[in-house]
Amino acid sequence: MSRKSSDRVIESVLFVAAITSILITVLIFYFLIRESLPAFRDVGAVDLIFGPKWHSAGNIFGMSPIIAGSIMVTLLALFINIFVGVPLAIYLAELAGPRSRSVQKPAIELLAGVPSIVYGFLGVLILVAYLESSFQMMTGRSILAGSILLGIMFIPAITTICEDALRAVPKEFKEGSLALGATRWQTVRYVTLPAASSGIIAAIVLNIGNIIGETMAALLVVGNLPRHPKPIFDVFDPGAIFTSVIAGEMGEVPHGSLHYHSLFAVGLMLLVIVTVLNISADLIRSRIKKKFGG
Amino acid sequence: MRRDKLLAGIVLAVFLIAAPASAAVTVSGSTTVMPLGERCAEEFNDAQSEIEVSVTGGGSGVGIKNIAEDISDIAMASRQVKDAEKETYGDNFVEFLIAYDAVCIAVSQEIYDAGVTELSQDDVAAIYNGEITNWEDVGSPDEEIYVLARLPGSGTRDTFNKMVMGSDEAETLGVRTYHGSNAEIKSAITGSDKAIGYLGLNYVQDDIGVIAYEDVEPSAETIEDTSYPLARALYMYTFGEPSEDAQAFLDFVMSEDGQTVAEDEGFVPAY
Repeated sequence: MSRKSSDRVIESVLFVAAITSILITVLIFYFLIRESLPAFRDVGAVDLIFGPKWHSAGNIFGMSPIIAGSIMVTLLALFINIFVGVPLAIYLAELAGPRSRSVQKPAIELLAGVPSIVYGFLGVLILVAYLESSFQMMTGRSILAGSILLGIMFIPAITTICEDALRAVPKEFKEGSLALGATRWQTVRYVTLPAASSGIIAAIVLNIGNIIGETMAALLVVGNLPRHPKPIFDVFDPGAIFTSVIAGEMGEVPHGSLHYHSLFAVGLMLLVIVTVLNISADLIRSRIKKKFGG
Repeated sequence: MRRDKLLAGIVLAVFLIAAPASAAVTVSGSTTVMPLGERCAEEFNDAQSEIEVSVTGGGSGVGIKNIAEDISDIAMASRQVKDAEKETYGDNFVEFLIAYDAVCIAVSQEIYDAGVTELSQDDVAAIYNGEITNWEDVGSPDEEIYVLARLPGSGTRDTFNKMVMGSDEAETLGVRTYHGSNAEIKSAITGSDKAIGYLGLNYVQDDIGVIAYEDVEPSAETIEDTSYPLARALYMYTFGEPSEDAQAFLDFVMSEDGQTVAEDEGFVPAY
């Protein structure tokens, strides 16, 4: 085989691999849309998405309690996530000496490798019991428990990406700032962080996708109650989220029933949200990059 | 190094060639029936070498879909095939009764010790409807009731709702949290001091207060003589008449040996 033709073979193999991933994405969308269409048709798009009640045994499908539950869990989890993850990344990238890094970095990687079901298990055994006794709750299974668990679970994800972003800031920026007489904190605050902000924001947006899509751990601690809490922002109440509804109900559902199609509609909603988040992460990143030239 | 790889390759090849030598029967479906299915498959596989039975879970709905789409040979189900499924796949399902199970109503040990050892249907229904929310109303100390239930689609839930609440479409507004399995319900009841929940007979052990329902305690005897109201049947299904191999396994499950396994697993034999 001549060098040229072997080149061509390799190129086409790589091309097929590249196409495959796109094809899979398209097929997933196609399949979800096809399977959820009957639900949108029979229930009506507005009723299905904004309906106030999800009572699948009685064939009433309204996603608003699930959407509200997902939003609450995600926002609260993200809050915890950012408040631990970003400072941790700053510390690792800017302040930690080689010794402390050599301990912290593997520890964080280890944390990332803990399977989600283990988190769920610990959540049920420790977190739920702790919340029950310290807040006098009837049950610790709640939106709050889900948020705390998911917030902690994705600390490694946000820390790793943020740290990479902070490290990617050119040395000259920091040296210039320090040479002008700025302190180390001032340098971090006014030079490094803004220069790395595209990466940090992208990390946060991607992490929303992670949190909203996590299933196993959330299913065990969130309570799976698809009903609006009273008052609606009461995080001490049990709630339901996209993934817990799908994972909890899919196994036994009669295939081809309205319930089945409605679960696919929930899956489609989730996929659309995550896709929108991913696309906006890219947009934000490129916009900020333009602004800071980073 | 190269020899190691060669050896590994040969071992792999032997496995690949050797595997199809016995006919395979695949079983999937209800997680309630699964322990019984697995134990039966184990004993069945040990007893002969022509047929190899493998068992996976997934849930009743998945099992029924799998046989209809020819993905597996036998479905395990903790409920009967629903009309929606007959409409989707055609009514070719062949039903085999394999054992009886019962839905037991259980309360936290503290509540049981405080005197709640039996509840009437009206009481249980009122608790699950959200009309009774305090243990005081059913003769126990002043304490809110933590009501547990299974997620929609669960055969245990359908049985409970149909027989206690009057319809498997009941909304059970009193329920605080929904759970995916019997095991989860059990750990939630034992982890709380004011909970009520329902679970399969085979999950009931000493550390949990199983109460009498309508004055009857669930047990093998009360299920067999049909005096316990919340008994239900467990099934295996095939789509169309079973193949010879599938029939051999079904025969084993319904034989004396298979029914002994059912009893060991906490169910009540059907034959």
